Amino acid sequence: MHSVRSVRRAYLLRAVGIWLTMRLAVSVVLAFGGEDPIRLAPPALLALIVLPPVLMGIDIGRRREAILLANLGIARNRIALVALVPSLIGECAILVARSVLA
Amino acid sequence: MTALEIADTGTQIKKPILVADCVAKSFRGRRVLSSASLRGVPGQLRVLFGRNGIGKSTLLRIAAGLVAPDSGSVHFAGRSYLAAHLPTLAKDGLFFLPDHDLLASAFTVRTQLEWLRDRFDGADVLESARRIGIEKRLDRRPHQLSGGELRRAELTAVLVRRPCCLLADEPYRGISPVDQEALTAILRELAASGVAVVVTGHETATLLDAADHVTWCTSGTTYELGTPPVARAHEAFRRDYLGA
Repeated sequence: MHSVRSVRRAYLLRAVGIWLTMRLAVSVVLAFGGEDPIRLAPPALLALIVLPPVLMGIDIGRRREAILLANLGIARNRIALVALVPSLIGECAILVARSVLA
Repeated sequence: MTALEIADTGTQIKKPILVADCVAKSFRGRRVLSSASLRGVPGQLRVLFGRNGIGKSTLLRIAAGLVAPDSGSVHFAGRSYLAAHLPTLAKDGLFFLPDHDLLASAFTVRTQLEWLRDRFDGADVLESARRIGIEKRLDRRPHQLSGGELRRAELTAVLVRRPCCLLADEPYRGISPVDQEALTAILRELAASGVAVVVTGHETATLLDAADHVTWCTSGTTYELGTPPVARAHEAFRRDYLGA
């Protein structure tokens, strides 16, 4: 049995979409409220990192992909964790970029 | 010799690779299965018959590790599980073909078949698709296929995966007679190559012609009826299920 790199890549792309959509939505709401759209309070930042895997798990169920993944030997929860990667990297990159620019 | 090693004919000994043993399951207080068993034997095409809502799919899903039983156990490839999980069983060679929605609409058929090939050193995608006659539809997404084409695509997934045990839940549902014939030929071919095949369905004529062994699920339990001629001669099965 080989690694599931190609499967992981496909779900990683989807996770990037989920995180970008969430980030954009939060930033737009903050901008309309007259706040800094980039800088987030720690609870909101944590939610932006933790929520994508949860949404990914729900999305896999909604799209009825769990049986295909299970037949590939991949548990739904495990592939959902892939969604942590873009949100973690993205938020870290934003923090670093902010501190460099400041 | 254990009871499980006694083959249907009484003379030939075949050890099952998959056994769902004495499983019970209730849903919201309604007991669906009280003591049901299911076996997958290498080289055999076994059919699980039963009326609608009697628990066939539940039993199959318990054997596949998709539903946890209230009691009973699942044994697969030499390992025993109180709560089996399909991802674990799949790594050991089990493939579950649900009655619908095996392939995901977000990806092309080719992509998903290539995932199976790459993951399990499976068969060639194009060659398998040609065998089933679906090669021109590989770059479409499952929702762009007709019911028959989708079933063929799912069957291609089985061929690419090359499992040692296939559980198929109502694979004949909603497909044309010509597709039914093709499906039967592939299932027979898989069994002949040593795969343990277990199928459910209501297409009695087709399934009794194709099967090596018949199991009857009724009143929360299962009866191993044996070969199709023996099953046809079983009075209660004939009266309560076949209706002939």
